[in-house]
Amino acid sequence: MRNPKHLELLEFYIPPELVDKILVCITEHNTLLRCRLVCSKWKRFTDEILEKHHLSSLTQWNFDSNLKYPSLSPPIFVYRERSGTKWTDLLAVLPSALRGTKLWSPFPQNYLAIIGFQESHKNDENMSCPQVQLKPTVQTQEKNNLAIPTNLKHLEILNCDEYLTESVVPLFSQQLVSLKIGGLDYEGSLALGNSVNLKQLFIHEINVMEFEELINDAKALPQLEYLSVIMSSQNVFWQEKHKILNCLSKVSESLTHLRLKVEVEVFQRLLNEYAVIFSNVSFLEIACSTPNIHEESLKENLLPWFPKLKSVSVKSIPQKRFLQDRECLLCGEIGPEFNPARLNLL
Amino acid sequence: MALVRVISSDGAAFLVSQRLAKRSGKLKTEIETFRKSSDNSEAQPEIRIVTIRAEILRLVLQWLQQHQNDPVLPANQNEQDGRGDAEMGQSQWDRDFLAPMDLGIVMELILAANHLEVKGLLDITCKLVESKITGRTVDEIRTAFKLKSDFKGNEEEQTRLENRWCVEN
Repeated sequence: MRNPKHLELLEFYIPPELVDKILVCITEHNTLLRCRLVCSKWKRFTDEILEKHHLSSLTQWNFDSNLKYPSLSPPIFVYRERSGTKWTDLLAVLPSALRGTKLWSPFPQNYLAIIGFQESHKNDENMSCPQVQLKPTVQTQEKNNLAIPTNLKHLEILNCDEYLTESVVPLFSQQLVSLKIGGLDYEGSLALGNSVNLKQLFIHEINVMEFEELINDAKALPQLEYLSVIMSSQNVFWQEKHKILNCLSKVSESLTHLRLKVEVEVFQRLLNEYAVIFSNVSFLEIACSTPNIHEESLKENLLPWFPKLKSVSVKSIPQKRFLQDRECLLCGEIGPEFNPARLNLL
Repeated sequence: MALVRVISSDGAAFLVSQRLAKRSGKLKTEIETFRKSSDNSEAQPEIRIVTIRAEILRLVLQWLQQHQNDPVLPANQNEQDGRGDAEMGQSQWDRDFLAPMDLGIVMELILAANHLEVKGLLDITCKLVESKITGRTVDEIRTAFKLKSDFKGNEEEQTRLENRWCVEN
């Protein structure tokens, strides 16, 4: 017969591997969040699962789910405050309980997301969070103060200005495996430096000049396999389109996955002019305004430049939206789509 | 037909065919060890499972009996994504089998399936437990699993604050 006391004891001692096996079956995100609150053992396992879920988006490409705002929302916001003619960059650390201890993304051990805060939101009365004033450059000391995990491998910087992006990225460029940069709102230059370990690079809402700067030195990106490039405006000159392909040619050998926002016809003409062979690309994803493109036919047409191509995915978007900056394609990812109402939760 | 006697922690003996018993990784190992160490090839192995009581052992054997013709799943199958074969492998019989069980029994069954290395049973029971967690509040989960919060200091509050940034609407 069942012995209640025995059973109670038994249930307190579920082996860790079984807790993990049970929790890994859970697919509903909010339930996983609640599991973090059950006890420390469940929290530990759930955090690993959440991290795995989030990072899987780096290698499992899908326009509809891939470009969403990260489910692990960042605890760090950056915004700029003006006093007379002087601008001050402020780092808002949220939630307040994290101040001075953990300033990185809540779950992962090697992931950091930094999202630029909208100027229009800074006077929000709910924005009563601790703030840290940044110095003109982030040096090692600031790096330590930020308590960024030393084993940082995945960095996401969205909607930040030149100052923060240029300061933070080079600090970690050698150790990063993935980097997402989006909504750069400046005309500075950002070099990736010697990013020898970088395998996944997502650059969204970037202009051609910045893109050139980023990919300037192909030797610095020897392992790059996943490249997603969404230009801030497609209404660029023909000459600039050449520059884009020229940049791509520098990393063409190592790439296995490529995503572009470009008109298919333009892309094919550029490929014809440039003898660039993407020898290892097996997956190509294109966002364009031309409707009803037959993917299989396109794949056949592209085989001379993509000899290992296995899959082509075309996302058709209306012409008007295609030409817009802050493209709806990135719906929910950055900028105006970010909902400051989240702050009310604090 | 070669038989094996499997004895539960509370002394109940189950006589089952060795073919059936060998669908459990643990029992298979025990039977093979017995064969190697025994001089008499006709001797009937006797395996005592000290961690599984009769009621649970009977359920495991019943499940094995029902699934005796299924392909044996390797223990590490689907390890990459951490998911088992529960969704694709669960039959109506499995659903009827599990339906009357309360969570305590299911948890014991999970432990037994893990100990006896019966992957198919482990997968479907874990999936069942998952369905009992999904949608529940933290307190309901703690009550159901007889767990207590062991967070120190303000760790629980901090976790709640973190969660607020990650909730999907």
